[in-house]
Amino acid sequence: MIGPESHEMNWNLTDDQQMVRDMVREFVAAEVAPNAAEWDRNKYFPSDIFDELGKLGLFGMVVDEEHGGAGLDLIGYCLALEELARGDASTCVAISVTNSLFCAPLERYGTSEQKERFLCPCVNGEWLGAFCLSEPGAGSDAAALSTIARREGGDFLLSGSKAWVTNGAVCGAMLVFAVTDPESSRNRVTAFVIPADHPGVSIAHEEDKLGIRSSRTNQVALDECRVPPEWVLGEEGQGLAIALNSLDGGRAGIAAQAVGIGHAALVSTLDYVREREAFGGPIGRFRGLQGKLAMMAAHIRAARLLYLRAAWLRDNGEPDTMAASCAKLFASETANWVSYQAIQMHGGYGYVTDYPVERLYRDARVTTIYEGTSEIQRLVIARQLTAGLG
Amino acid sequence: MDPRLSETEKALRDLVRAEVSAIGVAADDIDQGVTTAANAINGLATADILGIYAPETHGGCGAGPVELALVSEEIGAASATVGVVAISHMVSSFLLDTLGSPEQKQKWFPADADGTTLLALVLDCASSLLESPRCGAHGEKATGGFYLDGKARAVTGLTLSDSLIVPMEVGDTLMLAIVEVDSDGVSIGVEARQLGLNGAGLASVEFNRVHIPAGSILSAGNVVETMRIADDLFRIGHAGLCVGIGRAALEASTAYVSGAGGALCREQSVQWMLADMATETEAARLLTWYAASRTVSGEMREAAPMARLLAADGAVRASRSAVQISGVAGNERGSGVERLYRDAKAMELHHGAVEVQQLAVAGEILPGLVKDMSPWQ
Repeated sequence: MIGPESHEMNWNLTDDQQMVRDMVREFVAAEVAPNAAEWDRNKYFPSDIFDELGKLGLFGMVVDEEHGGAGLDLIGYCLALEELARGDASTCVAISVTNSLFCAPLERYGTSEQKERFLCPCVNGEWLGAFCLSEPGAGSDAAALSTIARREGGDFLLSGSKAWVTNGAVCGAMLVFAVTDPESSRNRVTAFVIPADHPGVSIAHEEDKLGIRSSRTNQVALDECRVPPEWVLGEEGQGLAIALNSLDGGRAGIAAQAVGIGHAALVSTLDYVREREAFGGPIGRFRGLQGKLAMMAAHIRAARLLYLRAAWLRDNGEPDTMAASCAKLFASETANWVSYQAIQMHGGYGYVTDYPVERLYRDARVTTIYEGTSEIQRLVIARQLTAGLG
Repeated sequence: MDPRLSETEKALRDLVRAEVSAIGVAADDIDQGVTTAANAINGLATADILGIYAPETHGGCGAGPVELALVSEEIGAASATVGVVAISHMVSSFLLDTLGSPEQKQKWFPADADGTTLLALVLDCASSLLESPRCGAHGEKATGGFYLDGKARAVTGLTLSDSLIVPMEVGDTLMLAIVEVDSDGVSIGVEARQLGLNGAGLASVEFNRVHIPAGSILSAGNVVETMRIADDLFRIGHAGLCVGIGRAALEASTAYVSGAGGALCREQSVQWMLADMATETEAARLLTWYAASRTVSGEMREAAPMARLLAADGAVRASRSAVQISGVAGNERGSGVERLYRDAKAMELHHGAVEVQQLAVAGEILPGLVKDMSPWQ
């Protein structure tokens, strides 16, 4: 017989997690959300707001207190990202890349000198980080990189072009992945951490994007960029593993960002259907719309639980690859579907900039693309499911 | 936060998983009417699974909604037909436990919870697109009790049950009567063939001046509030069944693709279907667990219908993919996956269709704009 004790599954947040969520929520409501539409319209990167966010410690949320960071667990970090994305997905992605794709790998693989030089400025809110993996001809197929790091004397000379670099033009330092051993299949790539103003690094191009328009996305050109061996992150040849591990850790964060976008679209729509009258009363009284809103809310809630669970697994050192991919896949597809429906319910008003939903719709779009497309997430999940079969 | 199962919960899940394997083997036979669900139900009763909602003094374990969700997923993975009958019994047990007097519990909870008394809650699902399942029966005061009249067109578990819990209106008051199926004036119809959930004892019932002794009225508490909780428990249980269907579809598919040298494992269209099945099943499972952990407190009342919605949707999609992955073999009657597909579709209708669940959610997120769908006012 099963014993009498009944355990309440615990979905409650810790005090620290609630505190960071509330702090970010408050800041976003006051400083970010009211300006997001204008920043989007002007493709304006709000440096002054980032100064404030840096002072709040949001550039180094995941960094251990030992290294001066906030020492947040992944759950708290994801909650903060969701709050940022509710207000402005562009602001959110700049913070997300800095934390998951710059600070986290530096903390995990960096030497103490590297941490001192490159991590501390993030933790202190002085600069943002960037992650240079993709190239014009290599996206999902990260092993196909063509940026070369060739030995010269004791140094490396990096040449090539990096694409889709978030924060490229506004970062203090970047993580650059380049080929050091073209003959090897497993140890082909090495990670380097390079100051943004280093000779040989230049911002070649700024992308004109569908969404997250107030964030910076650049092509970065490396032209005979001389890098000392002290800037190699981890071991030579370990680059691809570092890249994939960083992306794994970032997936729950992108899922949280997508949930934030979807949540904002839902909230805006719930307000709208209450205000907007047609056929003699608010349109929210129509059952067809009520049913759709219920599905939107259910998907958003489930997506939130998926990212919380993925984050919990990583925080507790348990395998999280599948959970993180499920969360990213479900949340990003949900954000797209929800924001699409949100526009539909706003009718013509949803199609113009009077309401936030058209921006949310554009901002949602990238979430199924960056940090592993939905297609790549499906492959990752399927491989886990069929490992050892066939 | 700790979204894991406790050791106790894991033990319960594993026990149920072991017990239901025989039900899984019989599921296609139950579906096709070769055998009835009675054996399976008795098996669950003997293993003390059916009685989890009974009080400890009557062989149960005083379970809560989380346990209900876990048990439901396991039974649903084996046979959703058996699942809907079991859930009607478990929710009825909850009502008996919450509203019954000590004498009533003594009478209707068998001493060892061996389930010789199978309970069904008489809720009519025939108008499921338009309203929550309700019962149109009414009672009239009589010497020493009441007379019960009324009928319901589609009630789950009827042809399998021993006793019925019947919500009846007496004037403006909602009362719950326990009625033996062989009482004078009770006539139960025959089960028709269904698309899905075949063999779940779905039938009509008519009450003609059935005498209900005062001792058969469950009234030791707030009946309306308890019935609202019962609705949420049905949602949790049915969501759990749907998660089980989704899981069974995924398991059948991974087993199928591992054959024939694993060529299908490497086929991208199959990989994508598997990934979506796993993702949507996990999403529905987490939402079901979450709703279950919140239901009793009444907090987040929208979570239970949300879980029910998402889980039914996921079960249909997953089982449809499972049929597709199995190719022509999946289309064969008795393939297992075609039953999952039919059962999943029926779960979109069963006991409050998805439309009704959507309105229950909408009522919470759009307060003031949505008519309260609950029949329990």
